[in-house]
Amino acid sequence: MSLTSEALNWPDAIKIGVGCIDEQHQILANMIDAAELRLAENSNRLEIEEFILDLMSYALYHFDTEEQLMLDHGYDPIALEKHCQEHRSFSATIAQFQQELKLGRVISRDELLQFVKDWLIFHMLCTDRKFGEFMMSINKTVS
Amino acid sequence: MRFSVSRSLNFTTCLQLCFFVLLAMIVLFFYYVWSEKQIDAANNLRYTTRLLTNELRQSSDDLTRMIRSFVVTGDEAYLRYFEKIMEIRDGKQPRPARYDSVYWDFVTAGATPKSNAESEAVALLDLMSRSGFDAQELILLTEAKAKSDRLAETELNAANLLRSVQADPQSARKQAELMVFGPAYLQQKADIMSLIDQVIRLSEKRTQHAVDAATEWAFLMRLAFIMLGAVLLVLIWMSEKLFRHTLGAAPESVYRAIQNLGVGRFDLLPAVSQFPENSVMSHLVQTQQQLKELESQHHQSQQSLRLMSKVFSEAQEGIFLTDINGIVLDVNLAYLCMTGYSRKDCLGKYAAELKSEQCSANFYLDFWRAIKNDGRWRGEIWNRKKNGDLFAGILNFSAVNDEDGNLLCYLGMVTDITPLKTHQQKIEEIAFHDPLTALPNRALLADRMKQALARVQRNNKLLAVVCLDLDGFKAVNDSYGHSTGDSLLIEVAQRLLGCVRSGDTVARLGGDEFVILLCEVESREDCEITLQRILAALITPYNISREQINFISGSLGYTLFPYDNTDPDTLLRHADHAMYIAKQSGKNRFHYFDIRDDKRAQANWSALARIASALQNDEMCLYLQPKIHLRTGKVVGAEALIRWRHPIRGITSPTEFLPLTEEHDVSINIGEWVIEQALRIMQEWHKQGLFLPLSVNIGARQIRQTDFTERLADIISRFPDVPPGQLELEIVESAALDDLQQISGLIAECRKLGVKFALDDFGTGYSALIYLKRLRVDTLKIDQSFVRDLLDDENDLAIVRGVIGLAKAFNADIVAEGVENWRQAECLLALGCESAQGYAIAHPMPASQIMHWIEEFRMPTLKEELH
Repeated sequence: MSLTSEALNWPDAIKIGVGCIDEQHQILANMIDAAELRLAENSNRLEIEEFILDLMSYALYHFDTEEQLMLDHGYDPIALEKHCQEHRSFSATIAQFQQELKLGRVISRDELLQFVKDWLIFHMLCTDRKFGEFMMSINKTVS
Repeated sequence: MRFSVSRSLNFTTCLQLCFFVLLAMIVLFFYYVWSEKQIDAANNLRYTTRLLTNELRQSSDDLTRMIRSFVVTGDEAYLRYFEKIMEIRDGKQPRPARYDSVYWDFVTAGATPKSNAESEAVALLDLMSRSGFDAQELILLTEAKAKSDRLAETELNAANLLRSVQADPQSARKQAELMVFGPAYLQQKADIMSLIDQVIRLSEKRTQHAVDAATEWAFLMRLAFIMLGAVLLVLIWMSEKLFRHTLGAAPESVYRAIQNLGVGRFDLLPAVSQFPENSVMSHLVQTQQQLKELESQHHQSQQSLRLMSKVFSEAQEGIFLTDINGIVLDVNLAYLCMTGYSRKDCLGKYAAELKSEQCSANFYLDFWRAIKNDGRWRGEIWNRKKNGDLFAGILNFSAVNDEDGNLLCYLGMVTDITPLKTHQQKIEEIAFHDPLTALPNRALLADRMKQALARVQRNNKLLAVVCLDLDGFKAVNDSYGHSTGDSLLIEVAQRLLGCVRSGDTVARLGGDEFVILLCEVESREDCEITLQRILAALITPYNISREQINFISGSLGYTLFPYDNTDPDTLLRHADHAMYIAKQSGKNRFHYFDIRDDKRAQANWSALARIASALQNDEMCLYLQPKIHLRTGKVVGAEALIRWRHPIRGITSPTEFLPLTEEHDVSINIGEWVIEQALRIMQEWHKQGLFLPLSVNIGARQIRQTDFTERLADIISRFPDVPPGQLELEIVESAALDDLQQISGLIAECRKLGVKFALDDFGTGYSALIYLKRLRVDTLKIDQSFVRDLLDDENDLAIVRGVIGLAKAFNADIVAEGVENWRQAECLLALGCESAQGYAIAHPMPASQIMHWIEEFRMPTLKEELH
């Protein structure tokens, strides 16, 4: 029995090989997993808002971790800018969802989840992976 | 005197040399004696030689005398003597004892020479040939003898002549006389004598030479003997020196020193330095010193042994000594008193026979491991007395080793702490149990948790930490009194105990809070079966003091270790948190603490902390969005909007982070920072001659603070140059409506400070007119969502028109937000709204750019039409 036996396990292919980042990705994965279970089609505003706020805070602290790591390890500035751009677009979209919800608009659960999952998969498989490879190469040169 | 040879020659060698020299001396002595005898022998030979030679001469003389006497006297006796001499000389008769002087004496005495019967009859010549004469001498002697014999014939002839009857006696005598006295006779005689003389000279010379040689040899021997004697003396002297040197002192001193050692007197000590190094005496003195030291050490150890023995016998602690196998060698009185055993019971037995079954096999394993590794063990131990009673002791058990680290024995010291233990147990009973229900309290729970965690980790099962809070308990206390409440708690405790297994723990933390530890849970479902049972047990009506209570239930929160892999305190907090949710969700239920929820909560906290630190680190700044008067094109003010100048991501919109802070105090800090910052900007402007009002947004949490007014006044007071009327606070309509009473009072108070108020996002909160009346704000801001679709949506147009009408009715200013194009502005102007902000006019910009913007801004000419 282990801690992770109950948690949604992501395939190793999605892992980028940086411990703290992978752990945070796992948290996001769990969050989405939980939201899919919890948010029914007719779920109320509060539940969706809670999920959005969770995503917002997650984005804030997770992106911060990633960006700081890139800066600390001298990641290529162009790649960093591109990476940040994706982070910004995610944050902006989530903020938009939040604003709309606040204004009383109806938000589609599926639309929200789909956006988050699509963005996440694309971002992790392409953008984060590059950074992961960069970190690996650094570790290799160091050792 | 220093003895220089001492190094090359030691005493033994010297003594051996002495011995050899002595041996040589003895040999030499005997040789010397022999050589002396050789002298004697040579002398003897010389004497014998002379004697024999003389005998020849004398015999010849005697013969002559005899014959002459016969001739003269005619006495026949002489003739008989003559014949006898001849016979002796020729070995026909034994020789007389003393031949040299006998005959003539005999003759004169008239006696008959006695023949010596014992001596042999040897002819003179034979005797001579045996007596060491050399060849030449023998030849001469033989010749002399022969001549003597011929002379004797002549003499005999003379005698015969005389005796013959025919002859004339006178003439015969004359003739005989002539024969023996005549010159011929004399000549013959002289010849004989000459020969004998010659032999004598020769033999003299020869024997003298032999004697001389023997004497010389003997002298040499003597000399050698004396020299060896001298060498021996020197050697003896050297030996003595060496002996003394080896001893280092006179033998008597050595003897005395050894005698002192023998009788154990070590105190009469001469200094070591006065004896030669490495000498017997110096060693003796050293030995004596060592013995003296040993004696004093011995004395001291005797002393300390006496002391130890005193300590041993008088100590209050029970002391026992065992050999390396654990067999008791000795015990003290205190030990006997403590255990009730007699000395006889203990000695020769295993010390471990005292052990009680209270100590496990593991305990003894650990015990011996500690002894083996550290050489000692200290701890509490339960033992049995002779009468079977248990007693608790603190045992100090240690291995005693000799200087080389070899184990000698074990020493054990026991202090009886039974009374202390009994007392301690009572105190623990009180300290670790809830006095009302007798359930373990918080302290004991912590202990049990620690044990349970260790056990669960060993056997790969789950530990459920359950927090229970009774629902409706306060009502029992309120309605029936505390004693009933207490009875109910006792009953609850009993029911809980009935629901759990024997290894589980039910603890009461206080009030109606309980914690249950379910050990060895297989799964979450397994745990929930037990929890369901607990809920059912709790909800069953209670009959207490003839009252039936049927509104009690329980709210349970639980977490599972090791899914929730954390420390005991955190586990309890998590379970408590889950219990709180169960209570929130409607009571009489259980809630599982999901670690994933917790991780998410942690993420939220991290984000919030990041925002707080951004504020601290000056990463926040204000952007300003101008408001203009649509009719005149004049800038009438600006709205201050917060931006996060993120060090990596750049300028970040508040919509991306402010929503996170809304439920937290960080939002208040941000709100106050914005007010302060806006005032600071205005203060700067005043110095530059710009008097532009700024509006800031006030969050719902900030405005609900009871001391909002005081805090606002405090901030304003820090900027005395800025008229408070220049500051406008924008409240979101929905926030204002939450507690109208409080907000309207607050607005009234703040207005006293001179601060103005605006209702932000107006139209989205479905405000009733009565509220608007009560709130008495200075400005209404039409929400941008209405403005955006103003031109296309009749409903929005109607709303905007209505809002403008309301503003006018309540004598409030009106500002349209989110004006994106000039056609919207023209429409608003046509509707009667004269102030606006939005992208059509300007995007929010940094405060530093506003002056420049004002100078540059040129408003197009607007037509008042609704489009």
